[in-house]
Amino acid sequence: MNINGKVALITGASSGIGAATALKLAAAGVKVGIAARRADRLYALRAEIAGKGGDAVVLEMDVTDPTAIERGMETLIGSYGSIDILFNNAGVMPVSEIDRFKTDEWNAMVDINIKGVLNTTAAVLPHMIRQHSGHIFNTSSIAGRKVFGPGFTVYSATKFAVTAFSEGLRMEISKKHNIRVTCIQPGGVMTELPEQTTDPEKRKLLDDHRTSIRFLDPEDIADALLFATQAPAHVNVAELFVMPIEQI
Amino acid sequence: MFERLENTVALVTGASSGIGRAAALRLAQSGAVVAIVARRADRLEALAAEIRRNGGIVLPIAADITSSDEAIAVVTRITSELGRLDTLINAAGLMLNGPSIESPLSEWDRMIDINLRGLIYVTKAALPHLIDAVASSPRNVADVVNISSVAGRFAAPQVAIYNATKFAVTAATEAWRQEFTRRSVRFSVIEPGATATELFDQKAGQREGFASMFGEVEQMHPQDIAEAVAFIVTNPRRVAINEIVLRPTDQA
Ligand SMILES: NC(=O)c1ccc[n+]([C@@H]2O[C@H](COP(=O)([O-])OP(=O)(O)OC[C@H]3O[C@@H](n4cnc5c(N)ncnc54)[C@H](OP(=O)(O)O)[C@@H]3O)[C@@H](O)[C@H]2O)c1
Ligand SMILES: NC(=O)c1ccc[n+]([C@@H]2O[C@H](COP(=O)([O-])OP(=O)(O)OC[C@H]3O[C@@H](n4cnc5c(N)ncnc54)[C@H](OP(=O)(O)O)[C@@H]3O)[C@@H](O)[C@H]2O)c1
Repeated sequence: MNINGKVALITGASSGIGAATALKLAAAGVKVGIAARRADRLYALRAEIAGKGGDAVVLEMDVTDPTAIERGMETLIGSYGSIDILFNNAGVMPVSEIDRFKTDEWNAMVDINIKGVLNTTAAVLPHMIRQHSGHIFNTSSIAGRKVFGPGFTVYSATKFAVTAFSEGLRMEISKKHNIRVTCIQPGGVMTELPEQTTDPEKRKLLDDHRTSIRFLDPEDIADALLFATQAPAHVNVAELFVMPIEQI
Repeated sequence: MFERLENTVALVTGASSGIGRAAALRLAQSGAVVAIVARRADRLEALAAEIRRNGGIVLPIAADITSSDEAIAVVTRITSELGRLDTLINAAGLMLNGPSIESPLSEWDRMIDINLRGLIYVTKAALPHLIDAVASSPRNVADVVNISSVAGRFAAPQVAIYNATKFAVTAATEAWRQEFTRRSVRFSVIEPGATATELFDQKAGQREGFASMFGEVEQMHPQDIAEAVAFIVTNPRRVAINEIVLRPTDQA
């Protein structure tokens, strides 16, 4: 399917996988709404996209805030008139063991990784239903397929939720509203994700892991997303599990 | 980003029809030398002619891979005639669904023989050669892509033994992946939904059974699955696409 001229909303576009995907989609001719909290990063990304001949609009929004998302959607629709692709990518992974009781971090993961996906989907879906087409990508993780060891318990719980939501969403809207749903499940990707981890031991573990094996580049995940969205309209890539070759 | 497959050899089972046939054409298009395997020699010759017309190099081998001797002979012939084996696409398969009390045991045996035994015979014979290929490959990687099914993820009434064989393929692929990924042999599983091939024709009533579960569905084409195969195999070494579930958008 030719995606030139389509419109995408990417949450968590200020760094990592989201930023790389914004660049790739823009290079393929997609107009991208780039959303996150750090506006300075988004303006820099917009300049980079524009410098390469692409088209992007900055949407400063916190996915935990439905009003901010509504405002973002107004700007996006005002700029481009429609929305074809939603990439629910914003997420955080503060790693700590349960008996540390970092409940603020647990709540942040639930609010961003789960509710953020629900909030954004709720704001975008009416547009896609109206136009009877669209493609929603949700970023789960290998941690949404198997429960990792100590420290990842709540993160895994949120990513299992994303996997389950994706599957149910697909069942509800793919045939009825002609909207494709893809659940992307990456392994280790070289991004800013470890920076949310406040526990020094766990932070070291995360940093060591990415030097012990060659992590994926964020662009590799962007390529997987492009593969799925460029597939013919009658093909729904429901799940994509992508890992570094050295990760077991 | 996506790499060419020149100077590599691919073995595709089930190449006389459907997904295997499309995968063989697609890999040849990416530059791979393809060995095409199934029982129907005439079909293989026709496909070989098509690949040659497109400028590809092809070795048709008629064999029944439910015999481990024949599976081993296939792999031996490929490595001796083509020099190496870099890519294995296990697409041969059979679906014979129906009510369990009425279905003859022989149908269940046939599904186990091809979907599971055939796949493991070929894979076992190929493994040492795939490991060897990594060392001499310009891409430093070898690939096994197993065609399981959404029936390898979700069980349903009257599908018991097909489900069992496909769950087994998904499980074996994941275990092999863990065993071999650090040796640069990537194991991937593709789990397609309904695809327009001869699969449903092997037993009366299967199309009706599917329609009663999913209603009217615009099926995928074998080429759609072949694109997923190519996406997996042509990714750079560092990127392991472990699993892809592909469904018709209509197959809720
Ligand atoms: N990297 C990996 O190894 C890996 C593996 C599997 C899955 N993932 C998933 O991939 C997704 C992207 O992460 P990444 O690896 O690219 O990490 P990253 O570089 O840290 O990017 C995370 C993005 O999420 C945004 N974000 C965080 N909280 C937000 C909020 N409340 N509202 C809006 N945006 C918010 C961040 O932007 P602001 O801070 O500017 O808001 C940032 O753009 C996440 O869902 C993550 O769980 C990553
Ligand atoms: N079509 C679908 O909806 C669908 C969905 C999910 C998964 N799949 C899977 O996709 C794979 C390919 O099936 P298809 O849909 O392409 O069906 P198909 O058109 O019937 O092709 C099946 C292939 O398997 C070969 N084969 C069967 N028994 C064999 C044996 N003993 N030795 C060697 N080759 C043998 C057949 O060739 P000969 O008869 O010439 O030997 C034929 O080339 C199967 O594993 C199937 O389970 C299909």
